[in-house]
Amino acid sequence: MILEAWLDARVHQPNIYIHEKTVIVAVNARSDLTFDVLLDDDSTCNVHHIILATGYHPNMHNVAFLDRVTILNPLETVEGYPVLDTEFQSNLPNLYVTGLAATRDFGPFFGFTVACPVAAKIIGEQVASHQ
Amino acid sequence: MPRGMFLRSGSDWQLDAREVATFEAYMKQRGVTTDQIKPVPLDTFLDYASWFMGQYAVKSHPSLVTHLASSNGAYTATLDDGSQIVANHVLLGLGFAFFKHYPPELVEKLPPGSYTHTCDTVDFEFYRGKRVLIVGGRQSAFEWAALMNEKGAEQIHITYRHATPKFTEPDWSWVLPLARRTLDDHGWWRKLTAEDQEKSVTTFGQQDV
Repeated sequence: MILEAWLDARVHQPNIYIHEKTVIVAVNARSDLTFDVLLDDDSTCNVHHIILATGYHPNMHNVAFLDRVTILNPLETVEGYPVLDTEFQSNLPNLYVTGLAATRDFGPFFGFTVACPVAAKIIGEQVASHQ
Repeated sequence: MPRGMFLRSGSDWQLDAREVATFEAYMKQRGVTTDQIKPVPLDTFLDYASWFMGQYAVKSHPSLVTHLASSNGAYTATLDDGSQIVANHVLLGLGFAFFKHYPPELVEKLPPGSYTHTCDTVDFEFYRGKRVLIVGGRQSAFEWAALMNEKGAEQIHITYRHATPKFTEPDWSWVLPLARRTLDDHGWWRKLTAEDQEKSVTTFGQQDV
């Protein structure tokens, strides 16, 4: 794993405390609306907020606007990812999915801008051929 | 994505399948060289996206789809202004916000109301004078820490399981050929063994997010 070089000096600051190789043991709310945090190296801190920089994992069932009966239930998925054919089409005819949700079938690059023109070309040609 | 964020990608990552209205073409028109915008600020890329839309007269319909249903071989999208669009083809480009990951073994230790995901934490002014714990040890954890510190947070703690990653200039040049390989063989990725996929994800992950 690598972090961008331009972050180095910006995070090595006197008020930024880096607790590597630790996990949270317990978090307790105080009456002043702050939280006491205990880490497994026995260090502690008291904070106003906890922010989860824990990334993303596709799960089509989290996409609240998809109709349960006509789309979500019949949509074929594996571990939350839609099952796509080689033209990004789901098992529901003419319903295509790209981006992060397409990475299981097309590779992790499709979660990033780098693959955007590739997906556009493949899907665009497929849709145009069906007009 | 928060203001002040930088992209990790270089100037060869762009939006145009025809490779005409590229990011490099945009920079050339703006009279900016690659070295002048390294790393690429988020705002610059968003401005490129607007320029790109202008180049092809792409018009967006800025509203939220609240419901998408299928019937008789067509799709009906209901928008938040109550209007509906009926279409034969639908492309879901869902972004990241639906897919925020909350690790269950972590969340069960956190009191209700004590936490938010980085995806929902983009106004750093709110954290001025506050103490914050960031859970996670990859790019977003460190970049959020830097941005909060620069906005005047009192203390920032970062906790993660692994050893601190190296801060170094990554080489992304190998990613574009892999993505483009899909144009020649749409199914090459799915034909790899699980082991080879894993190897590729690991390599990609070393430089990623």
